[in-house]
Amino acid sequence: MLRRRTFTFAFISLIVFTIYQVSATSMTPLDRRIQGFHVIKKLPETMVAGSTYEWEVSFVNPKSEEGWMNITLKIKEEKTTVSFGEFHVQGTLEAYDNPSRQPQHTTLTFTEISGGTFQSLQTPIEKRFNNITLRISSVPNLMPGTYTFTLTITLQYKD
Amino acid sequence: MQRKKTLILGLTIVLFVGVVSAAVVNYLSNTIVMRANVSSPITLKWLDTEDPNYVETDMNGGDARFYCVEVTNDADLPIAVVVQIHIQILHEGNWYNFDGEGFYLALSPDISYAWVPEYNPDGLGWRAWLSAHPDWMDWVLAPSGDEYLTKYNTAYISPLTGDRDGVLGYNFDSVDPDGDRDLRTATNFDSGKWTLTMTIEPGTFYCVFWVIADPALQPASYRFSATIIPP
Repeated sequence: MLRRRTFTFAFISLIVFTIYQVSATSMTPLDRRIQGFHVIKKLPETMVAGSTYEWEVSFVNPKSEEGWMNITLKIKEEKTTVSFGEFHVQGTLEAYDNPSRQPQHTTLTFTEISGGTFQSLQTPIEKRFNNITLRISSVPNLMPGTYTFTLTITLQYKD
Repeated sequence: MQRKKTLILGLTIVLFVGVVSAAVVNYLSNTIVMRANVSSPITLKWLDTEDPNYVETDMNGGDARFYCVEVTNDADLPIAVVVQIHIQILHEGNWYNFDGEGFYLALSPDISYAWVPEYNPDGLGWRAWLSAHPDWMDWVLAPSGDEYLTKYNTAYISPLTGDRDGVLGYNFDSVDPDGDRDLRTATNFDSGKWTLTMTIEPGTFYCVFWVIADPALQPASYRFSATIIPP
């Protein structure tokens, strides 16, 4: 009888713990999304190898809290593997509290951690309005095809 | 009763730990996805031919021909490339790579002026414009150091307007009027491929090929095509 209760207790505990964790991280993503996040400038649907294209997004840091921003850009092709050095990514962060004042510009340095996957880590944020511009270029002899660009921006606050 | 209290207490602790640990995850994250079709930046198109990928012609020894190719660089920066001109010969219904011996090639991008209204106010076709402005052309020649090349090298203007049975480009014994050979680059044949390294600026330009057959060339159908590869 005791074993049965213990088992029931452990089972219920596990279920409850899991439900809380999942609901806090992914089941209610609206609560964990960046405020005011939107795309200002899309990537074109047709690109030419060797050219440079801009992708511009914006978000709001409502209380001008201090924190860090991490950006991950993954580039994949349906039929081929993207190799090191086929793409090049640069970026800038334009941040300001008041639109009438001079914005603060920060260069975002991206490192290619694997073929087609770029990361820019631990960029300090502290302003209310933040515009990110990515400049994505490729080598002229890039394999033609359909490429998927997945951009993930993560903000982490100090408190 | 004691067990029931223990059960409730334990459950409460688990709930508390769950809530607190979830709250510790203080990050916000967004992901967006875009798809794009990426195409090659450079395209070649032979003009005035049935198939824009190549030109075919029947040639006898001593013949000369002009062919024009449209080159487009859709990228937003200059691209260094290697252009390979391939020659094939038709034999018993099949195309075979030709070793290139017996052909002399020259090319000039100056034919692009024919597409500029300022320099072609009458809207002439490229062949007519070439006949009217042979002295505008600076030629890149190949191969170098050849006896016959020397003749054509010094005859870079007159052959364009020369006339043998109305064939544009024929004048085997022409001379260079100003002594300026306009020779810029010499390249060579290699197993039927004529190779030239060049930088292609963004936009569209045109290039005219001057194909000259050695008098001893085997009469046959020949096919010329061009490919672009990274340097």
